[in-house]
Amino acid sequence: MADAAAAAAAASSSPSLDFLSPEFDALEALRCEGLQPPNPRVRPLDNLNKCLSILPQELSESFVSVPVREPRSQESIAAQQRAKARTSLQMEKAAERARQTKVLDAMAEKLKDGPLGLLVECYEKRGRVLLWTRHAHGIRGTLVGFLLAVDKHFNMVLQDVDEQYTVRRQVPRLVRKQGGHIGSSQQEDKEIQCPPEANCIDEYLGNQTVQEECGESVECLIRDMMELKLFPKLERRRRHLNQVFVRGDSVVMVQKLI
Amino acid sequence: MGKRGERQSERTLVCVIQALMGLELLVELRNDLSIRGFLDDCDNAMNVIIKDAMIEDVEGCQKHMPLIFVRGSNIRFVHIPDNVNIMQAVEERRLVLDRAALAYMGGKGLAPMPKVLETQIPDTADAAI
Repeated sequence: MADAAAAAAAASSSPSLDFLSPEFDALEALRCEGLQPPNPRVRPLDNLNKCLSILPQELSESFVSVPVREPRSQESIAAQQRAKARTSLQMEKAAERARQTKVLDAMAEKLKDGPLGLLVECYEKRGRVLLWTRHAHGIRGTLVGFLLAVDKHFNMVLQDVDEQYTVRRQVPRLVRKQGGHIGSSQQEDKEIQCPPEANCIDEYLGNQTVQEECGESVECLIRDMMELKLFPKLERRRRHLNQVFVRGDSVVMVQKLI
Repeated sequence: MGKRGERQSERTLVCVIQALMGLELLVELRNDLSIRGFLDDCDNAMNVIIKDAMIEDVEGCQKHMPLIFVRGSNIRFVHIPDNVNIMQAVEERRLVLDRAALAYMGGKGLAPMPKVLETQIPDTADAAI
């Protein structure tokens, strides 16, 4: 009571604390304790819609109008909830269904009608196939194994595989030098035949047994006339593998084995 | 395209390689190089990252490299470890990815995100798991 009386007194005395005067200072009013607005039960204007009612009449409707959203009816809210429930259930069911068909089976299924149908047949029977593979310059070799998975790119997974393949290697051989130098013509008849295992001519000559056999003069002969050259050679290899993934671009042909 | 066949990786056998992530494999390249190491990552184009790799060429020369990236088109074979059942591995990976995707969407299963992001979601969600 005392506060209210004091506030009322203050309001009447200073125009900055008088709510209805143009010199009203809000900050000062907030600092002043116990100061009450003329009608303390007035609700604050939080948004445009609330201000609409106090604006003067002569302003045009377009300036004033704010799109007013109608509150949603209970039915529409209920319908939306039901739709949400349905889709989430659907998603889970779809996931369940998708999981039941195995990925690899589904992949093969799609190829059944096309030209890869024979391959799919082999896959379904887990039959043995003979696969021809290639490298950049020609046929590499063959793989024989049981077909575990296929796809449209001819990527395959084989099991219990026997691979026979060729590999290009560079093999060093001792060979006469091109365009020999002066003084070598007399020594042409002496030739070394054995293919060395050393990678360079010095290594070859450094070999103990070679030194004993050949002797000094022959050593000079070799150095003058021969050089170690790398020759490409197609080496045949074979191996057994338990499980391999073969990438489709290396496949040439697939043969179905009984 | 988004919905049909769900994941791009599950339409080709790349999913088999992806199911082998973290295992020790031997990858044979088209130039007859073989790389033995742990498969760190594999993407839809079969590009792989191999960790702690031992590289061997045709002649038999070996070299050790801690981390190596191989372009998918250069791969010829991938030797799968004997004890792995690929059918099981692929299904398991699919389960993990499905669960991750569902968890990411807050378990409500609403309209999924556009395709570009969908392929990224499982990776981040996996990390969170």
